[in-house]
Amino acid sequence: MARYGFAIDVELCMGCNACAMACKVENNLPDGVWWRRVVSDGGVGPDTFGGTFGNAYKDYYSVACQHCENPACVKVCPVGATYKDAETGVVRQDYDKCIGCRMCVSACPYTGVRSFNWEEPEYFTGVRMGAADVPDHQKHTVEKCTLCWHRLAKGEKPACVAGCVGYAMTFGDLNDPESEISKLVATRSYKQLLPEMGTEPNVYFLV
Amino acid sequence: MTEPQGKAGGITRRSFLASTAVGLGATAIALNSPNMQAFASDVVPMTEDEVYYGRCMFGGCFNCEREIIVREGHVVATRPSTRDTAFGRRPCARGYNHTMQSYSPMALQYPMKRVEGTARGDEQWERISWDEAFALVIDKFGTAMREYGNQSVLYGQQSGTYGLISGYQMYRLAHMLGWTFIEASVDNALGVGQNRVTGSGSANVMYHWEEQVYNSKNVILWSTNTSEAYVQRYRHLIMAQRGGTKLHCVDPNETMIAQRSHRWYPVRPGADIALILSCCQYIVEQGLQDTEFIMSDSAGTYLINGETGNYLRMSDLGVEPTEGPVDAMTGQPTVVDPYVEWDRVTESAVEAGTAEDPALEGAYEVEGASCTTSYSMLVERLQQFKPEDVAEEVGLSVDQIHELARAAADGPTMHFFGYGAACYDNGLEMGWAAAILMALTGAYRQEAGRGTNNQVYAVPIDWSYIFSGGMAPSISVLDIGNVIESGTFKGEPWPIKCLFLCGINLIGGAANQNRVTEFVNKLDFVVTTAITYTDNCVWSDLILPAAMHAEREEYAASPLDFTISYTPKMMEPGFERLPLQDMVRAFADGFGVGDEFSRSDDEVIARLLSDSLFTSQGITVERIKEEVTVPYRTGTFWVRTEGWTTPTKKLEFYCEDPTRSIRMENESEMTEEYMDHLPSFRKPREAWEGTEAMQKYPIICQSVRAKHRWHNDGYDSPWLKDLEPEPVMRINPDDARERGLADGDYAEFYNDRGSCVMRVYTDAALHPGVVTYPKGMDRRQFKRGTYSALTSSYCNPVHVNTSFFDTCVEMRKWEGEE
Repeated sequence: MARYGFAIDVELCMGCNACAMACKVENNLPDGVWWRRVVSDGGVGPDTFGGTFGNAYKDYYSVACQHCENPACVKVCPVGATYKDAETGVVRQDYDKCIGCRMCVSACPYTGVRSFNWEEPEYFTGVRMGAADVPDHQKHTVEKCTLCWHRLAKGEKPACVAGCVGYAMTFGDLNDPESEISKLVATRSYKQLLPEMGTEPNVYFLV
Repeated sequence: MTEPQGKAGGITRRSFLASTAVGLGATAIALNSPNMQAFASDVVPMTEDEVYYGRCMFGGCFNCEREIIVREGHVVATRPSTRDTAFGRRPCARGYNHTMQSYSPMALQYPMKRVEGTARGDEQWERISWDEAFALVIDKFGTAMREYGNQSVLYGQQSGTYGLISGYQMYRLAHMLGWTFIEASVDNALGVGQNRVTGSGSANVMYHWEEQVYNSKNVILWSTNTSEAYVQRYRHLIMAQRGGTKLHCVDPNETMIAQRSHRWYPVRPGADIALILSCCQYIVEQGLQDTEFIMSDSAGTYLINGETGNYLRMSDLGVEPTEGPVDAMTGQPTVVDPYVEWDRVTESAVEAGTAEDPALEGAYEVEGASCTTSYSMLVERLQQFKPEDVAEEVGLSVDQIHELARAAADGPTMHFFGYGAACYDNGLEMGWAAAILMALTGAYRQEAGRGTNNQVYAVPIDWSYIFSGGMAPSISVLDIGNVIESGTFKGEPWPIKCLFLCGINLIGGAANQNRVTEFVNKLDFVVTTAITYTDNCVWSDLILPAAMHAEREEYAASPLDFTISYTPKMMEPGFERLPLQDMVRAFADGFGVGDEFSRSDDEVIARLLSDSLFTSQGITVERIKEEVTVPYRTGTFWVRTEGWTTPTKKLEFYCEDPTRSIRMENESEMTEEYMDHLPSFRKPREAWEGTEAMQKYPIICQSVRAKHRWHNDGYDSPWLKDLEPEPVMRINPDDARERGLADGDYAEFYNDRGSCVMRVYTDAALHPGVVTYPKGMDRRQFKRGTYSALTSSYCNPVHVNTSFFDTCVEMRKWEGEE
């Protein structure tokens, strides 16, 4: 079994949002829906520094589904629509099975990485965007990062990684000690989000 | 941070950033990788995608190559180019939006005329046909040109329209018709100042930045907010630093690149000149200058006649000037009157270049005149800037100045300039002082790590084609209001009656907006051609919808690297949008110069690229179409190999004629203080403690790049608005506290010129007493007013640059309705 995940170099991330935009376009995300967002850790307002002048601080974190080893969402899904793929470790969402109960949304400690289509998805573009092989978005369905499953099927990296302007994002198999990501995680200091929740996220922020 | 509020709700940063764990590499367990079959795709596409390659066309940006997917006649996706593009650039968030503008809710669709009887700005429009639109322009402009002269049509074009086919054809037409150009007066000062040392080519001392940065021992970043303004370069700085290069960031504010640099020098806003000259003083005092380079490339040994203030010439020694080659411009023989050096072997003044041991320093009596080497003149001036004397004014410690000076001298050192420090009324001196520092330390010669500006302005296309029908006059945007109101320019009658805006953000972007709308409203007829409904459109009488980026073929020459690029037409123009080049042909026909624009687009490009620089490298239209991005090489050091273009043909520490190469607008302000032969620290006109303005309005107002806009391009994008929904003023927490302002409040910012209301957030990175606003927002996105109403439009007679940062404001909580 593989364990696919991300390593994101915080020093190289400048919060440009190209990852979020690449994800949005590639996955034909409806208006107002973002599966990946870049958040700043600093002051109260967007993109602002915290601390004091001379010792100000701001770091960016590109955040989406953490594709956890021990995903809280999977445990609570009453119909098995949310599941962890046995061979890849990718946390997946079966739109056709989803009954829209949003238990997964409540259970996931990473607030906001899921979206729920309350209405028929809308697109200002008026045309279907993104890759031809992504599933259509459905009303009353919970959605989230698929790790660009359709791209992985073609041997491509997730859109966010392929689009990272700062080359801060690395994708790969954390179970393969020879992979670039494993080497980074083995040699660099890192942070993970909410490790105390026991979800064992597969996203490493290299610091 | 970005917290778009869509249907999905916002991520709450605190919810997970509050508790993060730090660990050092966990041991990974080896298991087999899954077979790709594991990822069986969920959907089988029903149609075949067409894949195009094309480049962004934002003016002044990197023009990154992208892969663009077209399905059933519509652009449906943008991806990073999978081909080997220049330095692995990938599109930024704006680049994804760029190809999608055809779908913008604010995209123009049809030619529209202001409804008769309504006022400008009422936004009441009537759809008309293209035939009616062309007839209207030709009638209104034609009438004005006949009655008041061709200059009576005012024409504005900037980086919003700089495609080689469309933009340059329109540019050529306007020149041919003799309209009056609006000179945008942005980012001028740095180059004009540097030209005092290097000649006319300083803006081109920029070569293959991404290669040089890794070869530099030190990189000095002068007011460049790289992580936001140059996202494609940020990672190179970080990676170079990881490889041993030291980054030194000079910026009043603690920007992200400042925070991540080896050293950050929080210079007082507007005091960079004093800092640079102080570094120069320390370098010379410590003997850290590159004497070999100074001797070979500068006019430092040339003598200055103390009585006249001019360079001493052989004619002053009684040697008759001789005739040189005929000047191609004047047709007359040039006069050869060599400069003079002091030869320490013969103890005499001799023709420059002939001394056995030329003196770099010293004062000498020559033919009864007291003469000093130009280098010594500089050194004497520098004594006014000893670190211990200026440290307090500069806002740094003596040790900090010493360290920065040593970094400049310990090459290879690369200087990377943003425009911030030159955005004061002393911007020319900033460029001038910086060039002197680079000349003193040999930064101009070093093979690795050279003095650099950030843009190539003079794209080497064949400009003789552009100007084949004549070259029209231009007037600064800072002065044009006076010309419109007085009907005169430099004492000559100069009536202006009509305005044509094409890719210039005049209304919304130009300084002192209340003044801009005032003078625009004095004109009889205003036309805007644009792709989206911009501020310019709002204040126009006629709007002409141009085809979007994906809807037409275009070529571009990138201003930030050395490439010519091609973007094919990928979809049909929506509604009735027309490619600008087609509009140009219709206008040309209407104004009787249609024959001059009968070339096909391919023929135009072939003509523009007929310069030997391209032909010698096998760069043809066919090749560009096939390869999309074609790099071209210039000399490894263009300016130096072609020789310095100063009067002495050397780098000059002493400027004999300060009026040389300056812009002579606003001559009434041309006072003695601008006639200095050596750089000095002229204080900012407004944004400096003690000025009358600052006593009333004690906060310095600076701009930063909006991260998700390029100029105002993309203001209308629903996606970009999710990421950056409204203009936000960032303020220092102490300044906010003093005024009772809290994060998320709306506040009014005001001065004598105008006011605006924006949301505020505190930002600890800001120098106390400084606020910053993001450039690129549309006027209609403000709660009230616009930040451009605050900025000064003072027209400095020397550099004629908009001093956006030389602006003071005060702020108070907005008590109006939400």
